[in-house]
Amino acid sequence: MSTPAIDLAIAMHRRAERRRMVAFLSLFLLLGGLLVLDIATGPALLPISDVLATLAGPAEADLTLRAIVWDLRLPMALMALTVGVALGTSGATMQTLLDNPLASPYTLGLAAAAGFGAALCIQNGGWGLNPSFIVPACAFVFACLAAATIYGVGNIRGMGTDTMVLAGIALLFMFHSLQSLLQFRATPEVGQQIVFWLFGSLAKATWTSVQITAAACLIAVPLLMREAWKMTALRLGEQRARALGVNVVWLRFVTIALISFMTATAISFVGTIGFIGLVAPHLSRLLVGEDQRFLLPLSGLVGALLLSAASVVSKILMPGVLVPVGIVTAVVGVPFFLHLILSRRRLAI
Amino acid sequence: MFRSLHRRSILAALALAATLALPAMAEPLKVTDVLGREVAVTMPAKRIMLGFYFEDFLAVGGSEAMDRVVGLSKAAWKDWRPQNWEVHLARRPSLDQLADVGEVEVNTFSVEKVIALKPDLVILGDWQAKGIGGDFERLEKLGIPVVVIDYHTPDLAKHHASTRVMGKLLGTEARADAIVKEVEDTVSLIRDRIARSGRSRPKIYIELGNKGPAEQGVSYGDFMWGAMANDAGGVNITRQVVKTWAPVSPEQVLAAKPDVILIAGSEWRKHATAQLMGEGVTSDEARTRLNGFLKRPGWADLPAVKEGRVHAVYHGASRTIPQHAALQHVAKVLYPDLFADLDPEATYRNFYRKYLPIVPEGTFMLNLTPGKV
Repeated sequence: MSTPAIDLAIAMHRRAERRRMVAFLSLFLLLGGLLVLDIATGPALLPISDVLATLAGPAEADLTLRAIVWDLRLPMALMALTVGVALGTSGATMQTLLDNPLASPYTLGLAAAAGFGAALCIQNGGWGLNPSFIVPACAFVFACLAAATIYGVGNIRGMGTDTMVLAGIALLFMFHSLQSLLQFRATPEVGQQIVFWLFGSLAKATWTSVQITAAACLIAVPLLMREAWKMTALRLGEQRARALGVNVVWLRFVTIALISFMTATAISFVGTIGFIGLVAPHLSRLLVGEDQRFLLPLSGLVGALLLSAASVVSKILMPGVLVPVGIVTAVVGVPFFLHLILSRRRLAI
Repeated sequence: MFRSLHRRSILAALALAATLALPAMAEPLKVTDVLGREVAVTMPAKRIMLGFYFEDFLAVGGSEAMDRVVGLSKAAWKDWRPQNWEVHLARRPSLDQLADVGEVEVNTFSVEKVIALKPDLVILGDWQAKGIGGDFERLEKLGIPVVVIDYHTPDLAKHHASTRVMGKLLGTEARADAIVKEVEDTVSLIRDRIARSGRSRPKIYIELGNKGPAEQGVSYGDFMWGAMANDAGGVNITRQVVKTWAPVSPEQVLAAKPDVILIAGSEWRKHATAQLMGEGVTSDEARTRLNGFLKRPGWADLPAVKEGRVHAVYHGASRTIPQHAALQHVAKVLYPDLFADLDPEATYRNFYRKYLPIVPEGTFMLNLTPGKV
């Protein structure tokens, strides 16, 4: 049955797949290296040998070293990975779903909504509840509300994906203004706490928050992967996807629910970390193209890589000082964002 | 590498020997801090991380107390009161070698650095304890004793509690008691005289002059200078609109027609028009800057300006133990005849002479008209 042309096509496809696997593997190794580097660096400027020894054998390690490595640095480093995965995967899904290269949890106002929720909660003193629980909970609820609003707007008859993106940008501005209003009305001490939250910092990470975020990713990412074929079909255009038997309305609902759940969980613990969700999918697309089976996990991987790298940079930028990682990602992200806009043609968007 | 490892193991052995020997020498001392928390501290504390209230720590513990400090939130001293830092540094050059744990308000505070210092006592200001959020519990969980003190609060009892708890921790209780008594005597003298005089309370407007005349600096509610204005028998005109500290609108000042104006200044030399006061500032410089504030629209017709009752005070003399000298100044500007015998700037300098390794030189309390109070 086989003809040379088909054989050639299959061979080329296999080669492309192999190339993708190589890309995956090398990035994975790079990530492992970054993780070690992330744990090895920190404001206390400990010798790397001490850190590695403590990592290898916490039982014999000095109490101070153990506290720093296991209770402070390890949760932070793992949080960088999980939040990176959550933001990267969500960004890729959003860009596919809304057919727009500028879609991301940040540009669509999810992070701003979470920030407003947190600020509202801090302003009201957490209504007397434990702040380490109620502040993330509020942020989570508002991020979900924002996602639901965007989805609701998209579902109004005749409204397309562009309208959803515009609705997201409108939400971004609205929640930013509401944040400013709260900060303006707050007493200086409370205003300070709100600013802290909005900064976006991995230093807030604890083992509990890492576990919760990791669990959210472990639930959402495999479920998203199940829809990868359908999303690849959607990349060919909504009409064609329908013709191929994809229930686009249902697909949108399921994927938006999943990514909202995942990103809302992540940003509710670390605050506003922009640009990872925007940049990671674009970088991944350059590497593996539009096949969502590869694009989604790779975006997660690249997201983890970027945030881990930003975390290392935030610590070595001024040795001994921890610059909030949200500032680093924004500073690195803005030029990249501009580059993206100016050279859109060259990217396979 | 090998040698340093060797040295470290000897040190570790010594440290271990010390810890083994300690329980026999000293029971942990239980103290109650201003938050009402009971904290157990192994005495004597030899590795102290000091977050804030550096001069107060020195006043209570004496100059030697600084030998036991291993880390500071340096920016809160060096950046906030640079001239004061320089004077202390000249007296004790090793100050700059102490570890810096970062500053809470600019988000550089690092709990990791605090832990790495292996402190046996952490002293934090109340604002820092609140500002570091979850890191506070992290320190507690690791069994590092954290004692919270507070000289920002209007509650004088808490100032005294802060002084006394430091006295206990540094083994200078008699000195702490003497300080509390000096402050208490000054405050009660002011309260008694005002109560006995039966005068009507003058209206006072207080502003932090760090922004210069062109922009409204913060005023106070029942906090810091606002609280002192209350204690010194004045009516603080911003009390109704400000809770802790915030700028009010210029027209509110005009409408309230204050009898007395007090501008708080510091060594803000980087700003061209901010109120200069404090270490190394001459009274002429301070007066020139204070005159700038009078050119604000409408101020010429205020009772305070017409009668020449415009004053400046050193901001660094608030939120610290010798705040009683600043309180004397506030009382004296409100009731010049009642307190004609008081010399607030002398009170301020004498406190330093008695309790601190340095004596400030500069302008700390000032009247617009030379020669008058």
